[in-house]
Order: sequence, then C-alpha cells, then structure tokens
Amino acid sequence: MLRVDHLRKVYGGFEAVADLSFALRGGTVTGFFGPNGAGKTTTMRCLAGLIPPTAGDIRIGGSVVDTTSPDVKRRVMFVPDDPPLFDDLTVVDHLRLIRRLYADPSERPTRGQTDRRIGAWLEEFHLSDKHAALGGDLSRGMRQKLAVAMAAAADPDAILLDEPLTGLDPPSIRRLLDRVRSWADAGKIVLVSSHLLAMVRDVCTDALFIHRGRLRYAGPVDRSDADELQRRFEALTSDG
Amino acid sequence: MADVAAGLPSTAAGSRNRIVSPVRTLVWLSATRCRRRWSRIAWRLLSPRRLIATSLMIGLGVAYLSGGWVMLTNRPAADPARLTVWLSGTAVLYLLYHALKLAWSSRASADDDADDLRRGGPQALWIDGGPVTEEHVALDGLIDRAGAAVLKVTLIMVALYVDAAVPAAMAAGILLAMLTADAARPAVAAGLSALSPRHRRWAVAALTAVVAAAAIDVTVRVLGAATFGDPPLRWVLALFQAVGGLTASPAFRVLAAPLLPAASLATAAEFGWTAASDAMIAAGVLTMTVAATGPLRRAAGRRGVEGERRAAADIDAGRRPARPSIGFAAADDPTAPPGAVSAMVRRNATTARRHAATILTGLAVPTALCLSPLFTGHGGGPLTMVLGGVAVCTLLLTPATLRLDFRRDGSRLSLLRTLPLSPVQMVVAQLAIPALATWTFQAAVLVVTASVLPLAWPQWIFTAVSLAALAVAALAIENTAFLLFPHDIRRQGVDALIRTKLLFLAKTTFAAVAVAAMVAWAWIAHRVFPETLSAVAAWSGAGVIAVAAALAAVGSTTWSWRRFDLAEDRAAP
Repeated sequence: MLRVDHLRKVYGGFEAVADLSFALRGGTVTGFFGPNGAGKTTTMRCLAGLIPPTAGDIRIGGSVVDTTSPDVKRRVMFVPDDPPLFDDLTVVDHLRLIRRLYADPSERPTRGQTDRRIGAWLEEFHLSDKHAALGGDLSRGMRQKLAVAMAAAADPDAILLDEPLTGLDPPSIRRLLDRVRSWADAGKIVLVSSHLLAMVRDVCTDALFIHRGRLRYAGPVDRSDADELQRRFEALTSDG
Repeated sequence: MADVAAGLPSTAAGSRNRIVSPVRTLVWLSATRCRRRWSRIAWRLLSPRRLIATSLMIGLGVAYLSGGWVMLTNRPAADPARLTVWLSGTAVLYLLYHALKLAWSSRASADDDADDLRRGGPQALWIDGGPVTEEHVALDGLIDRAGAAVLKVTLIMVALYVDAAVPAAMAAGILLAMLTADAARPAVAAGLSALSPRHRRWAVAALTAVVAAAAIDVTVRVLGAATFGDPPLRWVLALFQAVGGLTASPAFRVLAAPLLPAASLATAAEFGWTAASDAMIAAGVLTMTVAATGPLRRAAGRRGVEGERRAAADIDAGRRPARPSIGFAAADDPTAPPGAVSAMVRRNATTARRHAATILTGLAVPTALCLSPLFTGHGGGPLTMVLGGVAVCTLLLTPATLRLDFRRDGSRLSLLRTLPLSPVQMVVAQLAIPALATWTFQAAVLVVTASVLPLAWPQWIFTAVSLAALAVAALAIENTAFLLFPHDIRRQGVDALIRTKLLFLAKTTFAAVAVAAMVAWAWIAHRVFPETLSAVAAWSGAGVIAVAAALAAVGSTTWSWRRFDLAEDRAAP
C-alpha cells in the first residue's frame, strides 16, 4: 500500500500541494485528475522520492519514501510527461541501464536471459524497429513508449504515470492501457494522471480529483456511468 | 519478434550477469555514452555536408598540436620542488575561484542552463531518482567529467613533458589532482547550500577575505618585483612569479596539503615506494572527497526543506499568498517596438539583464587587465599592450562570457526555425546583444586609454571600428561553428575542449588574415595615392577591410543558419 498523510509541498513561495491524504492499494489503477496546475505532477514527484515533501508522510509498504533511500526508491517508478532520455544512448541501452540499476539482488539472470527480456519489452511496446536509435532521435510518442517500457523493466511495486497517453497513436494507447491492467492484475499499485478522461476511464478502478493542491474526491470509479469522470471534473473546475 | 541482437552487446558464453553494483553500472553508463557519442561525432565529421568544416578543423588541430609541441618541448626543465608547489597551488586557486563564484551565486544563477554542475534531465530522473545513494550521484558526476580530464592531462603533458622524470607518474599525478579539484566543486556547492542563511553569510565573507588576501599578496609581490617604467613583459613575468610565490607561502601550502601527494607523484624522480604511497594517498583523498559529497548533499536537501517550511509557515500566518499570481509585465510593455527582430533582441536583452551580475563580473576582469599597462608607466608600449589586450579579450574571453545567441538556444533551435525572421534577421537579432556588450567593454577601455594617451583622431576611429568589427567577427565565428556542429554548451567533455582550442585557432587565423589584408592595403595606398591622401586612404581602407571581414563572418553565420537542418543538425549529443 502507498499511503500519503497530509502531504504539503511549497516551492519558492508557491504552495503547489496544500494538504493531501489518501492511500493506494496494490492491484488497483487509480486515475489522478485535476486541472492544469492542480499539483498532480508535484504530488507524483514526491511519491517517487524525486523531491522531498515540505511536510507530511509518504510510506510504501510501511517504509518512508524519501529522496535518499535507494531501497525505497527501487520500489517506485515515475514516468513523467515528455520523459527526458539520454540523447547518446540507444533504446536498448536505456532498457539495459534500468535492468542494471533496478536488478533484484535475489535474481541472477544470465546475459542471454536479460537480452531475451529486453527483446520481449521491445516487442511489447513496438520498439523493435527502433532498438538501435539514439534517445535524441526518437519522436515524442516513441520517447513515451520507451519510458513506459523502462518502467516495465524496473519492475517496481508502484508505477506513477504522468500523462502517459500524450503523443501516442491509438494502437499504442490500447497497448499501454493493456499493460496498465496487467500491472494491476499482478498486484502492483498504478497511479495514472491524465486529462483524457474517456480513455483512462475503462482501466481505472479508483479516482483522485485534486484542485489547487487539495483533495476534492477520492473513491471508486463507477464504470457503468460513462460520464461520471467528466461530470466530476467539470464540477471541480466550475466551483473555482 | 524482430531481431534486436544487432543492438545488444555481445554475450560471453556462460557468463553470468552478476549482481551489478551501482558503481559498475555508472561506469558502464559513462563508457556506453562515450562510445555512442564518439560514433556520432565520427559520423558527423565524415558527413559530406560538413566536408569543408571538417577539413578546416583537422588542419587547425594539426597546426595547434604540432605548434604547441615544437614550442613547449624546447625549454629547460623546471625544478621539481617548485613544480610540485605550483601544481598543487594552481589546483587550490582553481578551487578558490569556483568556491567564491558559488558563494556569490544566487539560486537562480546556480540553476542556470550554462552551469556545468547542474544535472541534466535524464540523469536527474533515471540516476538520481533511481535506487542509488547521494555518493553514487556524486561519483556519476565525476565519471562524467573524467573523459575531459584525461584529454586535458594529455594536452598538459605536451607542455610538461620536458619536466617529467617519469611521464606516467606525472600523468597520473596531474589526473588525480584534477579529478580531486573537480570532485571538490560539487562538494563545496552542496556544503554552501547546507549552511543556514547566517552561516552562509559568514562563509561568503570568509571566502571573499581569503581571495582578497591572495589578490593583495599577488599585487604586493608584483609591485615588489617590477617598477614603473619596466617593459610589459617584465610585468607579466612578475605576475607569474607572484602567483608562484603565493602558492609557495605557508598559508597556501596548508590549503594545498590534500593535493600535495598528487603533485608529488607528478614530479617523482622515479617510480618507487614513495611515488606508490603518494599515488595511494592521492587516490584516498579523491575517494574521501567523493564520499564527503553524499552527506553534504543530504544536508543541503534538509536545509532546502527547512526553507520550504519557513515559507509554509509564512503562508499559514497570512504573511504571503499561497499561490501568488504571475505577472507578464514584459509582454504588456506599450513602449515595445513592433517587429520580430526587435522582439528577439528584447528577449535576449531580458536574459542579459537576468544575468547582468555574471556578465559584468565577466567583463570587469578583462577591462581591468586591458587597462593595467596604462599604470605601469612604460614609454611607448602601453598603447600596444592595451589594444592587444582588448583584441585578445574580444577574441577569447567575451564570446565565452556572452553566450546569449544561438549557443544558448541549442535546445530551442527548432522553435527559432519557426519564427518569421529571414536568416539575416535572425543572425542580426541573435548577435546584437552580445555584440553590444562587447562594444561597451571596448568603449570603456578606449575612453580611459584616450584620456591618458595622445593619439590622432583617425587612428582612434580606425581602432574603434576595427575592434568593433573584430567583436562581431568573433561572435559570428563562434555561432557559425555552433550551427555547423551543434552541441550542448553545458558539456565540459572532451569534444568541448577540442572545440575551444580549434575555435581559438580559427579566430586568430581569421584576425591574422584580416590584419594582413589591412597592412597590404596600407602598403598599396602609400604607393598609389598622393602623399596628402595616402594616410586617409590607408586608415579608411583598412577600416573598410575590417568591416568587410566582420560582414563576411556574419555572412558565414547566415549561411550556416540557412542550411541548418532540423533532422541532421540536432544539438546533441
């Protein structure tokens, strides 16, 4: 479980996140919604241990998430919107880097096994044709796919995806959503931030709505109601 | 499944992928990036699109190395004891300079694009955000700079080869000293960030006092070694001796103590037990410096959170708004002239204002250096020294200080390409602010010089025009090279080092050709025109040649921007 208690983040005199408390369970996909500037990305960066919270407590499986704990950071992976890649590493190099960094000490795969797993990720995310391309030569959508493939390669307990559908073509969106479902089926915690409500609705089991750094709604998604997320979003933005 | 074997490193039969430590992963990462980068550079160099530029680069490179070798290997060997002190002392001077710069930097400038200590986006996300410690992050930064250090050592070895009893020991010693100084910079940066505001003020005052004391010491030594009326060369030698004297002083040797083993290794007479122990101690100092960076980074992080908590308390107490609105004063300025060129110039001017302190500091030092010959009291030499100094600073220092042109927009070149400006307009807009700043520096020096030294007004006009043209030419050449071989200006790698040397040679060659053309014209003018007109013809013609040379350089930048291809000429890696 990923538990957040009274998270607050202030940067340079700007209160990006005011007070957030929620819990994400394993095996669920939580949609993270809110207008631009609501504090979604800042929250996700705090959850991933990339930046420290100003106040509050974040725990995964009982361990405090902080910016200096390698063991805890191994358990959470954040894929940002427009992910930065190494301009001078190929697609395969990126996947190999993540495997080396996030290798489970209990695993001892051979080089051949690792290569086969990398091949499988390339196949799954339709990156095989681009396996030797440098990061700087990839299109926006390809960069997004590679970053999600890197999250798959890291095999963390919690995956935080910030606007993962931006720049993807329709078949890639379908494959990504399938992957999100399979992560949840494997018991992982998945948090997906997106403005494409209709697209992510089908995979979300729960939803978090935030506005001006404060939680406005946390609860399950009613999949029988096609317009539920849209109504909640409009209500959120119309009340100022 | 598609065949991906071609993109995968070779697999040794039966080899096991051991649990790789982060250190090995970081070394692997750096080696892989280096390999890919060199492949890319080789591909670019061999590209037919850059045939002329590549040929020029190779020619200049050969000229630089062979010239340096011939000049530097024909001198007597230095005293090893003095060389030891000099090596360790200059490393301390390097560190003091950077520490003072960091101490006086605001947070905004520390986050500046041009700050080479700042971690790039991929490193910050995948490495720093990954399962590694702060010590590993510090090590990664050092590994990233190690390649450049190795090449720098290679070039320094050309200069110091005659002093080396054991060349391998000298190379190892210089490399260890250089890496230690490089590793200490992020440690100092983190240490300063970890201080409370009050303690930071004390640290800034202490560092400033140390540097001021060193400057006073050097000044006193220079004034003791040279007297007014001595030739300029004497003053230059006195300055070198003064710096040597400073580094040999007891206080400085205390500061340099951690670097002495590396310096002693560099000047070892033989590779025996003493040199081996020096090597081990120097490696230990380097390891400790990297290891110390981790706790300092953690402390800096805690200090940052403390600052955020103070801001949060202010918000809670109603002393500041939680979400202050962002103004767009610049966009609303009713006095702004219309037009895309003026918009670009204004945008660069805004950037220049934001970095005004750094720019002023960067220009104040060359101004002081250029004017210093006026106060040595030497008869006919000062004017030559002043004008020579302005020319050298215009060629070398100011283009590096004023990177407010295409070089700063390396990651935004595709955006620039979409703007409604012709290539000429874009180049003029990009070069305007750095050129204006350089002209201001030149004018300041010339005005002071004119008030001290008598010179005929045609000569002053010619001098001002020539130097102004030189400034434009130097900036244009820098930008032409950048557009032909785009790169990240923050990179301090091997390629950056080579680029700096070759650009130096290119600019001096360009200036030498222009001067030769002016001299030839003056010779012709004296023979063709009557005596009453020959002087005016010579000066005005030479001025026209200077302006024409600058326009030619701007033309080359325009041509480079026109042929710039977003697909082929990406500013990376």
